[in-house]
Amino acid sequence: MIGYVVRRMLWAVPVCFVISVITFGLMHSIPGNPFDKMDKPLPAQVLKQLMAHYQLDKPVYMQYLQYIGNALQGNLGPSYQYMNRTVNEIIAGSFPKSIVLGIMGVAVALIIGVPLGIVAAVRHNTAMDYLSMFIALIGVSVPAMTMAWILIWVFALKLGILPVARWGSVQQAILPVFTLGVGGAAILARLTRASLLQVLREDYIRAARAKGVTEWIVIVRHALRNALIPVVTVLGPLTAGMLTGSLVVERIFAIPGLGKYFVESVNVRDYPVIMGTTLLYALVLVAANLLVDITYYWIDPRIKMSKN
Amino acid sequence: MKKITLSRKEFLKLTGVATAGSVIGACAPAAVPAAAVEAPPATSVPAATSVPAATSAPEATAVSPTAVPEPVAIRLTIPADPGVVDPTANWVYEVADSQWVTLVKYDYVKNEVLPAGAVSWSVSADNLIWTFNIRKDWKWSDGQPVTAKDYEYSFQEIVNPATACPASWRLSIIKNADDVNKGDKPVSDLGVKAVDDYTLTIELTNPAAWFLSSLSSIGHAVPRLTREKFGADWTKPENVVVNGPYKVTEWIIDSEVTLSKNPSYYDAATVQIDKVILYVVTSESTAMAMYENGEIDTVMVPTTDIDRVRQVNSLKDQFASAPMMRVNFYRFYVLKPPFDDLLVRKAFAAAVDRDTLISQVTRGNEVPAYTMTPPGCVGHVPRSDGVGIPFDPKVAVQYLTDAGYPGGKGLPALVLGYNASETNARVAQAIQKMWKDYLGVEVTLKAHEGAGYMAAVQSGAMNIVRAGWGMDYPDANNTYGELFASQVSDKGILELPELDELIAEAAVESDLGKRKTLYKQIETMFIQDNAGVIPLYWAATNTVTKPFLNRPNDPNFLMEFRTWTVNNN
Repeated sequence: MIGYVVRRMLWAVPVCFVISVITFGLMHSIPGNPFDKMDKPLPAQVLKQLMAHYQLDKPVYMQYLQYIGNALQGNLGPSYQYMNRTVNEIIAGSFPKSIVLGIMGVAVALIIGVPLGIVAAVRHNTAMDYLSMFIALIGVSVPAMTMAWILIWVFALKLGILPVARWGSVQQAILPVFTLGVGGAAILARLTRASLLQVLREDYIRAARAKGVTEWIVIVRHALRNALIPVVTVLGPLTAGMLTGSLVVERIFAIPGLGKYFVESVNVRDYPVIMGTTLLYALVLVAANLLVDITYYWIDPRIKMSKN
Repeated sequence: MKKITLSRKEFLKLTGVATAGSVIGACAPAAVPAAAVEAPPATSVPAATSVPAATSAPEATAVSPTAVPEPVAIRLTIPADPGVVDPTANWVYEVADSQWVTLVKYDYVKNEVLPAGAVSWSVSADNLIWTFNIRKDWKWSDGQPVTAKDYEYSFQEIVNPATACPASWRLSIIKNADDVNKGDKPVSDLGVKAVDDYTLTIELTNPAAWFLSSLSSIGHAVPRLTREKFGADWTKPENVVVNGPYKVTEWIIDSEVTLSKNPSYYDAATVQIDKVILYVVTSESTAMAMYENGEIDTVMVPTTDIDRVRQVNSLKDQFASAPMMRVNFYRFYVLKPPFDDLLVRKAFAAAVDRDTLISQVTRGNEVPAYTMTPPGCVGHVPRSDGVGIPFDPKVAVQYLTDAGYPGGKGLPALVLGYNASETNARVAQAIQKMWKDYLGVEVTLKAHEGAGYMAAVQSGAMNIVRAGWGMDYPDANNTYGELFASQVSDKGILELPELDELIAEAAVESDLGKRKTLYKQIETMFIQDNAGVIPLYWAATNTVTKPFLNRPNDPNFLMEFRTWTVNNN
């Protein structure tokens, strides 16, 4: 088990290396430069100074080697957009907020999604099933930016019981967390239902029922455990995505998280931030998938973490 | 320094126009000049500057005295974290401009240069050496006196290549500035000298009538010792030393910045707002919702909300729209057909209906622009002079026929590009339709996100591109000398040797009357005779403000909180 985990973690190294090379190459091949964002281009002399200041006048492979050398020592470089901040500072400042928001979002998704799916599966083809799946359908089809504005309109502007935006208090967290969680909840509900329905048809469930096990125990102890495997599979990337920030939710609710840096850094060609956020996302994704695999092992003893 | 702010705001806020508000009630447009004249010394006459409440119906918005908290704190939003606020190292935004003081200020309403860091000034007979008398009895927030040496240091740092200040080119008129900036001469050779503690001289390479007013937006005095001691961290709240009306006392990155009144500011007695809390909110719509939910006290109204704000009872009296010093225009790429042809350019220019554009699309108090330099600037050509290419579909069709493209037949595929924003897209769609309706020409729209825009513009991939220009200082030299003169103009812009001569002549001319005549000739030559670009409109700021607060109109770019006042009635 420990050997498996260590091996998986070592695999993250080549993965990150390949991602860093591809990202570095791609971002330097798109037109524009980090300082080109005005109505009128900077005078050549000023641009030259800025490029030299950030060593962008060197060949790309040199820049890469320098970058990766610094990155290995934990220095992700300066931001060009926020000139007096380093990428380390940006991540340190914004990532924790995205993590808190993301964990609460995942929690909401699980708390709403899984029970909804169970109810739908157990009460298969009844009104409860249709209602649950209708709710899930709405959750899947209404995009976060619409959901966010509906919630703001109802709970802030009309009822006046919650603030519109910003981050810091419990009240301020409710709307963004719900917005973020509801999309995931819908996915989880549908997945839980489908998976549980399939498992409930298995022979071992019939056997359990035949032995007189109560329906509650059948569902929770016997069926759900197996049915959750596809749910856990999806939960990995879902969690990684939520933890690293949602651009839409963070933007609408003015939450100073990491999400905006993914998009904004590409728009303004803030190379070190592009690299830093991409590598961070890669690491979180690798970690989340590792956790998923460990969870498999815990849920289903038949899954072995052997060398093969 | 506005260019970057504007475009940054455009990129980040999704829609175009920038900051600063007005005290003019929407329901009393006739009050514009009167209220505007009262505005600058607003601190002395809070009652005269009529927040909408003054002009509104007596019900609803009547303000109770208790609505004004003590001490006075106001909350508003900014679209992004201020980032680098060192005014010698970056473009200057509100947070920098509130903390450090330039030599002079400019009153955009009365059109005059006002004392600021300098109480008086004079210029030598040859108009080359300016002498500034620095304010005495004025101290940094750490108790040290502010002296001419502080200004000398600040100007040196702006042109110092080690600082890599993106605005350094604005000081090229100063003797040796270019050589210092290229690293060919030491910073001590810059033509800015502290003669004694309270006398500063600035030597220019050429006479420049616009130079004085341009100092209202560049050359803020910064504290040398603090700056050298803390390096890049010197502007952090725990280190910063200021001489302006406010000081940053709290700064949560990406979240909020608090400006508190600085008692060492020379005019602190007139500053009414004790605390300005700036929330970082990128989405304009979110900011608008926060305003409506009482979470902030004033906000820019997104274009999409203007109609609603003007109709809803609770908001319409708080709405104000006033022109600002920014021109939006369309550029032709003249290095390839069809816009290398003057007649084609004229045809497209004559087919733009600016009045419809403003009444149907932008919907604020924007002003149709037939020339480049905005009203209120030296060198602005009044509409009554008839300069420019007016909207005339018949003439436009004739131009296109004369050019050999009757009804648009034979024209290559044309692309109109703009930097992606809600407003820019709506304007482009309207003009696309005008060209289709009046000229029969199909133009394809192309929105550009982020930093690739300027590169795409210069590549010539788009035949017509949207551009905007916010005035750094109120003089046509800022438009023509720094935008369209061949030696500085952007690739694809029409270049005319005789225009260059006129621009150079106007830049060094000292006589105001002659300068005005020259700029009229320049606008006529570039806009009317050669259709170099199509000016569209001079932008407006559209704001809503809570009744307790007076937000004076500031056509300049920056919000000047020191002039904001509280309504006590």
